Amino acid sequence: MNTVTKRAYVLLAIILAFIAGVSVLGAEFALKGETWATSRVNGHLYSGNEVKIAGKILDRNGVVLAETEGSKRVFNSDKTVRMATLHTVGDTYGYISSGAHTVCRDMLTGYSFVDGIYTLINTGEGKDISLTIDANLCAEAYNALGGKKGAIGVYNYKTGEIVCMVSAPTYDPENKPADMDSKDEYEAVYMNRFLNGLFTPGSTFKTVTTVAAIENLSDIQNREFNCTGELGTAQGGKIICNKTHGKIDFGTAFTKSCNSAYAEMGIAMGADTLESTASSIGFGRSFNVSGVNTAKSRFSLDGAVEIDIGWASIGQYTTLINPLHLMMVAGSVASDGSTPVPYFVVDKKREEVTEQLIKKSTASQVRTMMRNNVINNYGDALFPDMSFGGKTGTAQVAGEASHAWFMGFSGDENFPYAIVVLVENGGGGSDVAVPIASKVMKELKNSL
Amino acid sequence: MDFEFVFDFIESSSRYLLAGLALLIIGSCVFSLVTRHFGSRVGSYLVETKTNKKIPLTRWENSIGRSPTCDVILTNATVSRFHAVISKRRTGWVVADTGSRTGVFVGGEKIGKPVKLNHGDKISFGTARYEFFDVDVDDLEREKERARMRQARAAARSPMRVPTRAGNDSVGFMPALIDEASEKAYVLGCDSCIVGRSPECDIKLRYPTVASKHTKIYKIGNSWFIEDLGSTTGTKLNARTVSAGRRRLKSGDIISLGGAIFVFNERYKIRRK
Amino acid sequence: MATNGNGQRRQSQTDLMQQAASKSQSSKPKRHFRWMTMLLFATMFQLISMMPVMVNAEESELEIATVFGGFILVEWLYFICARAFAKQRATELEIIAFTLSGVGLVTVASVNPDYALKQFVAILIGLAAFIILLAIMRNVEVISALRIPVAVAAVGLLGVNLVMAETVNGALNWITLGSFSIQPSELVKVAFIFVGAATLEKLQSTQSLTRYLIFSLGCVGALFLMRDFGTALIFFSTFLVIAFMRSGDIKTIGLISVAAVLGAGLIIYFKPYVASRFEAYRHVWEYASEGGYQQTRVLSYSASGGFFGLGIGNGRLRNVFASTTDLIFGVVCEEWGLVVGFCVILCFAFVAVYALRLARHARSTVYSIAAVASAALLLVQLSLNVFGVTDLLPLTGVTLPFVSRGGTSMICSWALFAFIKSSDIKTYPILEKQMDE
Repeated sequence: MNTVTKRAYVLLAIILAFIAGVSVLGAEFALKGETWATSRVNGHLYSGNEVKIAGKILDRNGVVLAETEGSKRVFNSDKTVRMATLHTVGDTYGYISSGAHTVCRDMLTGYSFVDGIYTLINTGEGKDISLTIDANLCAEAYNALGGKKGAIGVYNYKTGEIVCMVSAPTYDPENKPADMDSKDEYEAVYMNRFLNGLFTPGSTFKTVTTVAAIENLSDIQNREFNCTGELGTAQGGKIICNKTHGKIDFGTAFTKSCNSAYAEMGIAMGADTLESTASSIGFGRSFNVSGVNTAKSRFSLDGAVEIDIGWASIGQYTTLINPLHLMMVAGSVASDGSTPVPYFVVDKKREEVTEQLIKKSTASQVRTMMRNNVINNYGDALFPDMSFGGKTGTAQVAGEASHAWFMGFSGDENFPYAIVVLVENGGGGSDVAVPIASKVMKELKNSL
Repeated sequence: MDFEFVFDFIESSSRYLLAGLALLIIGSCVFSLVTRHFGSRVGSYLVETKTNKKIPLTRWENSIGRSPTCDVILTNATVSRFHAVISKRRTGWVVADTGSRTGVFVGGEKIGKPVKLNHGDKISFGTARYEFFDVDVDDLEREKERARMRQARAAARSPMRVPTRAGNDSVGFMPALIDEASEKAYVLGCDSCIVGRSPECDIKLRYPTVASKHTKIYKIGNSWFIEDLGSTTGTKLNARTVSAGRRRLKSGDIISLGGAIFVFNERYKIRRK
Repeated sequence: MATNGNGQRRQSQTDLMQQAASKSQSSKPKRHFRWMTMLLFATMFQLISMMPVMVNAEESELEIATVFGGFILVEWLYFICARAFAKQRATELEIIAFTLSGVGLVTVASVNPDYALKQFVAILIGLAAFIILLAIMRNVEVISALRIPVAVAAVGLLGVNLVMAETVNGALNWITLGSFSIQPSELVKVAFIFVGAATLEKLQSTQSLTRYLIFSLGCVGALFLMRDFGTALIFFSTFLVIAFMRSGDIKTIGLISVAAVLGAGLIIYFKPYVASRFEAYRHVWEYASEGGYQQTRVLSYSASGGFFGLGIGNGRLRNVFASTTDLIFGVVCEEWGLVVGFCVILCFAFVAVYALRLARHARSTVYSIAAVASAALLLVQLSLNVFGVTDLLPLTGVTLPFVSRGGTSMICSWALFAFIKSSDIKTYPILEKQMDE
């Protein structure tokens, strides 16, 4: 009988396997419970895939952007505000994955591992959350875009708060157009272009090339470039400049945004140097902005010949940049090369990450160059009392009008904001993007 | 209105109560189950006729054979690998032949169907001869004695009942032996008392198993001691035989004089005039 | 002719250990299970859980009240009678069984009051089966005599099932008799273990597994034909456990397992629709509106409940198909809370530990095998249910013992507990007393 009863230990194996399974289940509840409970299959929170009950979403001044009335979700009463903040607040169906309705659904439902969504079910109210954006500023920015596709973002480069974030095209969540999917004007309407878009940077990329040149070309401050309106390259082909600038130095090349000079610098440094500088500035990386992982900016010179390097140095070729990333570059130029990672949800727990994108000494040189650029080209009247620095870009897009870009920052210690404006197929940077940036910055200054 | 409030309170606290009670009920049941003690005291034994070697059968079902996986492993060449099974059933011990080549014999007869085994039966597996003994029969006596001792000890701890007499009694304490069976007290009146059946003894007992001069209980200083006087049936103190020399006595000690059980009490309460 | 020296040493060691054990026991005061206290707590638990159901019952309030009252009455009657007439003190298993049955009854009644009476009757039949089996299992001789008839009946029942089966949820495992429908496979589970358990004498006389193997193959094969894969898997794993307990023959069992895996592979190869039933496995969120519908709802609603639940009747999983049968674990988690949910499933693991210890000390290998096989079957079925609906295992649609709605499943659960309880000598005070004297 001993032999048989000893075999009973086979049961021990089954018990242990079962307990292991229960432990895994418990761990899964602890780790994924939040995702599960707040998922769209949960009929407590959603009805027919639409958010039903959740807390309020407020802007930085306490303006209600979305709330639950009865068991229906309603947005801000002003149509422009609704449209301007749509991508930040998110729709109720979760099509806009970067919106607060999706990113903060755990907080909005008040879920906790111990109590589940008991409080929400019992009181009918979730937890309210505040965003860092200013709803009116967003509305102004959206109006300034004038119905064009594009993105505008402004953030405080000392704290990381995003005070303005607009992506167009957009729609009114209270009155959703029925035929959006088939219309060109609503192309990629659910994407927050500012966080998840990638665009050819054009001349704004010259800030990156400038950084590379300062750090890698020892004679850069004494170097002289001769712009003949174009720059021929070794394997043939040429880079066209916007003008014939003649003999110019490094500083003038930046102010005039001389393609010949910058292509020459890029070719002189070579592919590897450009790539390593771009990568240290944040190309190829995704930033976690309140739970949204931004699109990775791209800069690759794999198999590139001289002319490709030349085009890449002035932000063309295969180079693509994410608007938020460009804003971070502007912000870090303004503050000794480092910037906090931006965020837009006040209460969301986040790691206090500061990114050193540019060396401190380099940053101050670029900062001076960008400041001079504003003084010489646009004048301080557009950005009064801000010690503003900036750079425009006009990115050529195959077969369509150019993207108009502007990146800039206020050098004022008490007004530490950086801005990026993108108008898709909008035309020239200085003609289209700069007035928008000017309007938004003035509005921001007035509102504080 | 107030009723509503009470109901709300119950409703809101019931979720915690349910979880707590579930933990309590399941927890204590499960704890009781997994810590359950299994006092399966079964046993019998085989004695090998040739060598008088004792082989205990400790399980309810015992396999017997040459195989090393058997409970009882016999090395005799005529024993099959799985020869027989001796099991305890409700009716008693049973032996069954499990397809052995050489057979199982009980009392000299080859068995076909399972056969009941009695205390002292002769049993052979092939040519290997054994006798079967049911431990329970031996155990029975021992168990009974143990039970008596338990009772005696309990009686000794409970307050003594002494026949009351009329008059102005004074209360005193004397050492005494209390008979477990009759609860009669034998007061030790002297510092050295001989206990036995003989009329010369200080304490006279009328048990047949007690020797004429069985044991001596005496005092040295403030301590009492017991010493066997070479009795044939023996003296036991707390179930241990007092073989040579003296043993210290304490209140509540159980003394067995040839099976008669006494409890020693150093401060036995008596009343005297 | 001397005994093997090694063997003897082992024997004397166990002897010593037993002596030591009995010594240490006698020094400790004997602890009795406080069944009355536990019964009071269990009743309290049940009353608290019944309250919200009664409040929400509306027009069927009277029926629900009768069923709940009846349940508590039967519970008390059982324990009082067990103590008074059968001298049962160690009634932990029954407390667990009644607690779990109560959780099931309340959940089922709150989802649909029409289920309440049927479920109560199921518990009554289960309890009766429990008592009858305990009586049968008292004597090894009775078990041995009944083995062949039970085996024949089991195979016959499955055969009848195959002929006149009705397809329910893709599996042909129901027989409808008038207004009652029974699931023969659940009853055969009990028979399967009953037939598989054998005395040492029997094991030693018939050294081969062949006859039991044929019986098992018949059962598993019939279930496969009925397309009840979950139950077939339960039978197969129980078969492996019983076969191992009986023979210890790892080689043969390994071969059988390999053959079974190959067979399953062939089925999936030739009948791709079988595999397509499991395509959502580990991808339930991608198939949230198709194959992963039930699992995603279970996960989402269970997590919504938190530790203490949303309150009985406040859940939403109850509206999902099969909420009172396959998905009842999720309903319990959502409405009663994760604490109760995990108590319900974890208690089976500890009952299995108890069964394991029982098997080591049982008074015949019949009980060792029955206890181990019952515990294994319960754990496997529980795993398939709980881990199936939470997507740790493929969803096969088996019930949660004691809790799920369903008469035959309830009878099977009680019967398996009877197998475990009958292995404990404390269940039969007459036998225990006989041993002590």
